[in-house]
Amino acid sequence: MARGNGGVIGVNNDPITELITRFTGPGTFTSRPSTGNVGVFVAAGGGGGGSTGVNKAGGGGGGGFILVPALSVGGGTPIPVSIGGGGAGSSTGSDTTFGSAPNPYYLIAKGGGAGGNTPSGPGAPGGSGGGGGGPGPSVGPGGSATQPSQPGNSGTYGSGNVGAGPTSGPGNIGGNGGGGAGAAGTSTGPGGGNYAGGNGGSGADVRPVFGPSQPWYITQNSQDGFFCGGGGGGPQTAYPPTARGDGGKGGGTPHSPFVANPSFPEYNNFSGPVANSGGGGGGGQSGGRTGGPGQVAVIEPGSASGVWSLKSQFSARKSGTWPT
Amino acid sequence: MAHFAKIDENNIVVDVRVINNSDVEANGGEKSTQAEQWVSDNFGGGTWKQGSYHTKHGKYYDPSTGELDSDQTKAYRMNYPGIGCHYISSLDGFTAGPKPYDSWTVKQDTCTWEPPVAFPTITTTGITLQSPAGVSYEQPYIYNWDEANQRWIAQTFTKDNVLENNYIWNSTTLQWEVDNG
Repeated sequence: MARGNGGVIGVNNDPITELITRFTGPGTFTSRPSTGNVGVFVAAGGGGGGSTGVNKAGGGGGGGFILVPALSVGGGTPIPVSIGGGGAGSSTGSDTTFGSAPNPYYLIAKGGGAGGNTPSGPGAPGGSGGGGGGPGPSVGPGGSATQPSQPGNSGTYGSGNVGAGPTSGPGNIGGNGGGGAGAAGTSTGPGGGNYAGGNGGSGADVRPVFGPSQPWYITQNSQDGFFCGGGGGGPQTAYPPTARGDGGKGGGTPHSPFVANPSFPEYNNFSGPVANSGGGGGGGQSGGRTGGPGQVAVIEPGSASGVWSLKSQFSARKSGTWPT
Repeated sequence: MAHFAKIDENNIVVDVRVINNSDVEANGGEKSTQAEQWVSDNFGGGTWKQGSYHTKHGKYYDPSTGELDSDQTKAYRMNYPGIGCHYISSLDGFTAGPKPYDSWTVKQDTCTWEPPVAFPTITTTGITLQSPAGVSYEQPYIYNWDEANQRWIAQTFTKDNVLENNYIWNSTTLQWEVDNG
């Protein structure tokens, strides 16, 4: 029998603190036995930027984005997690999964669509669609977004948007932005001077479920809490390098650097701080940038169930850590 | 993190999984057939090949800076594999992207796709234009590969985005020739 609990007879329970489990590779999530519902974030791999060796390719679409505030998982049930890779240049990202069908907690985030190749290649469909390639004889449309139409919670809580297609005819000669989880990509067009690449669409925000700050948020350029942004489109070959399409907030990367020589230049897949963002790769000349790999994060809420000692309750209240 | 690509019976990549380094090390280590078999055993079977996120065109780039790495022995399998890329067994490498046209072939040293006619070497007309946004630029040849006729074709546009001329690349004289017929 506990003696330090203010006179209540019973066992002193420790407070159950909030717990976040994050996966950047495969694994098994097993909740605490007392957990009923969890918050889950699933990001697929972003699509790669388009290219066939000529500039003005479309940006890759962001990976499909799922944010479920309360998913019933059954305490202690092991749930497999698999993480999709980003798409290489001109290729679609891979899917990320939480659980397996037909379990009710199964979630699948669809890989982002590849950016359209030049000439005028269409952006590929994906979680968010890739941006259309810059014009040649015709106009490359943006890819469709497949995440919202996924069955069950994957679609209900899923986000993805279309990649951009040119808006004002074949004279537009930049590549278009890939779609992001929070917004569609931007077309090359008057806003960018017709010749610039379109911007990638913004990603979506996990902070409503995971709170204002986590060590795994992308901190550069005020991207805190945003993931699965679209990649920027490439400008036409002769346009100044400042005319690139910017990556969408949430890990979308800008187009590959401007290089005047159309033969395949040496360049890298560098994604720097956007690893595991699910962001789309920028369209480019040297194969297009690679999309970011996906991830999964799960949050188990804390609680104040059980019997607390007055002392620990007082301390928790005073420090602002009393579970809700 | 390590990346593994699943390839189909035609050696085309159909999926890419991110795998924990600890799992790789516990099952044969980096670049081992044992690790590839472990991935196959745990991710639905089939043939899996490890790739490298930071290798492009046969060269390895420093993951922290994006610059060419001083140790090129880290380069692995030519290019990062994406869905639709080809695994070329004779080069033990992945192509840079899916095959764009049937007639294009693999360049041996970079595993990139190469057209049957070399890329045009002239990319602008030399005329300076000003875009509606007020930016000066050299008028470009908007060139594309014509698979049906196995040649490079191009168009030029005025500053107002009106089609000006069509061109065909003469691969002998290395000049663009007007073809408005």
